[in-house]
Amino acid sequence: MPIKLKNLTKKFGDYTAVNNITLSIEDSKITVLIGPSGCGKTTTLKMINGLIKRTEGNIFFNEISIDKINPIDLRRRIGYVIQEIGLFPHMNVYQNIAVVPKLLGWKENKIKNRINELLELVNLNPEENIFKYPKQLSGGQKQRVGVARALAADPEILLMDEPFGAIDPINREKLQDAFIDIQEKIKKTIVFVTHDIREAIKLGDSISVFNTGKIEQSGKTFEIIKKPKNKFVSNLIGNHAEINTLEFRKAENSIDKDFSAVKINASDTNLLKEQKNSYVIFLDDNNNFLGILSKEKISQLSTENYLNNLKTYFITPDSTLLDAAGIMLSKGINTVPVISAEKKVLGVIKYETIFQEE
Amino acid sequence: MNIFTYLLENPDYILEKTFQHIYIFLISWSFAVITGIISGIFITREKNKKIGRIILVIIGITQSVPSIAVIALFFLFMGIGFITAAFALFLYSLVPIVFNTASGLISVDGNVKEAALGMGMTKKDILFKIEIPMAMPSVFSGIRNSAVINIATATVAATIGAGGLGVIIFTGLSHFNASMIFAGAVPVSFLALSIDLILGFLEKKFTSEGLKISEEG
Ligand SMILES: Nc1ncnc2c1ncn2[C@@H]1O[C@H](COP(=O)(O)OP(=O)(O)OP(=O)(O)O)[C@@H](O)[C@H]1O
Ligand SMILES: [Mg+2]
Repeated sequence: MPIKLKNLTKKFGDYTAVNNITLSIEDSKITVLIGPSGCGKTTTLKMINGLIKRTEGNIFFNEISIDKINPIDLRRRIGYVIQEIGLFPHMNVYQNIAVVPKLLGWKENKIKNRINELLELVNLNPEENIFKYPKQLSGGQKQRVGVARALAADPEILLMDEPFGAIDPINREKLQDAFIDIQEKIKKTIVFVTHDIREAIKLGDSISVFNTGKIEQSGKTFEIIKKPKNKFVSNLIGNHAEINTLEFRKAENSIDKDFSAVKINASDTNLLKEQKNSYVIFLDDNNNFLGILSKEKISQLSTENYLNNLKTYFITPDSTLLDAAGIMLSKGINTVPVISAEKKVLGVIKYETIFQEE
Repeated sequence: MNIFTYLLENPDYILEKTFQHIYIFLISWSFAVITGIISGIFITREKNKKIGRIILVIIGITQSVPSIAVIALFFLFMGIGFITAAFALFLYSLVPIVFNTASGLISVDGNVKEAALGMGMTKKDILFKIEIPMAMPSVFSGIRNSAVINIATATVAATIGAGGLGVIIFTGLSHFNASMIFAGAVPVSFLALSIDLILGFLEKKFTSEGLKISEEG
């Protein structure tokens, strides 16, 4: 469900915590709110689920003003992971996740199935964990239960306030990876608060940069990185942001089908000269990948010598563009083949693809 | 004559006084439990926050007033009689219940309440499903304290018409009869112990496992 924040303002007494922000939150996408401590991220999130009453402006869900929706109903339809997780210590994992379904009057059987499904989704073994109490869980496990609890009644919207904030870097990476996989499956409208730019770039389809209650810039993640609007945003994303984004971009999404491939036994100088790309991929009789050569190199070699000089660099579809860029830079080439597990050529990653504007 | 003589020679009388003791305890204490828990909840509600804080301070002070002073005060204003004694006991055992209920409810983590609110619980849901279950250990410690204090103070309240085992003890005291004092004191201790055991059992039953686990374990 798309959400619109329109000229939204929140004042605590004389202090303006959120100052006239306007933002479109896209349906089924992750929108990250990022900014330094105290810039109004949590306040914005809490205005969306009505925990904090706005001072001015309006919030729309599917074009319907928040004023027209009963706040209790609204909250039961929005999953919420608070900054401190807030699991109920007197309830076990099952009971914690069952809270909203129970409020909605689901049948016990339906709840049970749903909880098993959710625990699988967040990668916790149901049998092992269902009867554990929050104090018996590690930090990362608590976070997972927090996410499962927020997803319990299959809400269309998920508000997540620094859900991975308290986790060590290694486990945080893992949780983020798991979270990306989960979102692939569930496709919720997610508002995700963080103050870690790496996390923002990794998870965000869009990013809104907050500063002292105002939005400095919002847009698609790559737009923010390519065209920071001002000093504040460019300082936030840092100098290496473009390189950093490569790590989070899967090769399979950037495959270029425009490549030249020939069977090595059928290759002769004329055929090779006709190829329009600067690199030629060689295949065996079964169309399996053998290697790659630049046209420049080909022109220096005789046909019998191709096989001995083939470069065998390649990446798999689940590699990242950073892997591709690493090969390009270290080997001085501008095209890297993408090869499937069955040794078939899926396409290539070209230098221009990585470093051009999207 | 040994210390057990009175106890062995007057079992019926002692039993009668024991039942009297239980009677005044049950009446005054059960009213205190009900009133205490309700007041504890009332003074911790958001809208009553200001009065609540004042009441808690007053109650905190009253906790340090000795029982004998309370009994004396009620005697001054209400004279001697069962009603006076029961009322004094009720008020005196109310204090720990209100205090512990309120402090248990106050100490429920604000984040937990916020999560509950954010999930779409109503105020009533939060009170009954989150706050009270989480405050259970504290509520029970108030109830247990209050029961033991009530049974002990009821002994003193015999001086203003409570009846019960205190009557035997005070008669024994005035006659320098150690056996008689003993015959009153033993059932009092026995009563206090058994009530505490029963309440301990109930506490276990009504407190979530999740609250008993230590952080380290
Ligand atoms: N209930 C409140 N009363 C008064 N001021 C508040 C209240 N809640 C928040 N503020 C103030 O509003 C500002 C924004 O707070 P908010 O919690 O939205 O920040 P944040 O961006 O989430 O920060 P953090 O990254 O530290 O969580 C802060 O200066 C905070 O002190
Ligand atoms: Mg915050």
